[in-house]
Amino acid sequence: MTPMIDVVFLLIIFFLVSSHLARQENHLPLDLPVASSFDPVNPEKAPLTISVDTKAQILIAGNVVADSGLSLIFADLLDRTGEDAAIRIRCEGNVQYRFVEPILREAALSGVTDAAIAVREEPAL
Amino acid sequence: MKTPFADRRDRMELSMTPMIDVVFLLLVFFVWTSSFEIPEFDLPSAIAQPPDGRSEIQSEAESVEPFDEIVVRLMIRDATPMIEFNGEFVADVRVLKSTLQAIIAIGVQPPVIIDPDDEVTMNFAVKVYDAARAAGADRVLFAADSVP
Repeated sequence: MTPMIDVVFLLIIFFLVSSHLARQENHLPLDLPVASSFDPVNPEKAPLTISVDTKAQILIAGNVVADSGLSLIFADLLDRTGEDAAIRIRCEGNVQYRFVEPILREAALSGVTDAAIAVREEPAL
Repeated sequence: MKTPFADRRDRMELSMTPMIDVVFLLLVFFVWTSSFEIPEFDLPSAIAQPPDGRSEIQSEAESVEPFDEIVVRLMIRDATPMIEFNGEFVADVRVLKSTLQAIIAIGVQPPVIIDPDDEVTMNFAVKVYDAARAAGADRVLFAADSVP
């Protein structure tokens, strides 16, 4: 009896932990800007994450997207989520504003009003 | 004949294996559940307003009412990031923050519009944005050109 309970217990833990890991977002390692006035993350919200990497490429779900393709993606996002449409921009801190500007502009033009910029907490001095 | 000492040692060795099992299990559990990622947070941004009004703020000839909206321009001059606030250059982010705090202390709540030039890095843009929010401004917005 005892070994069986051991194994069952192990399996329960394994599946709990692996489901927890699966929920964690797989994301590109980026050096995000730092800020101190961020909001707590709302786990209910499922924003579309847009990454801008060191080479100033815009990546959505791992695919490189051109500036011109953004409006289609935002239109699709609005179709799928309606009022809750939200985006989250994860950008490398050293990227120039002109590479991020098109994302903000296209989002505003498409009607996605909920945008957030991912930041790290400012290290305490 | 067994001495009491030997007897105790026997029992200790017996209970060692399950203890290692449990310790190992706990170790695996905690290693798995801990995440080694630096936590990330969301800085709510920028495009909470319809784009028509926002995108036209760029024109410099516009006569801005004193506290209608505050436009902070960011630019790079000789590889140093500069802040231009109300037509004047501001020494650094801290000065800008105290100026904004002074304005908000009057009791007005004008939208603060951050207008970074093309070459300004996101690090700097977000730093200024953050300073404006930390100063107590309700609405801080990024400006975007209406045409690329």
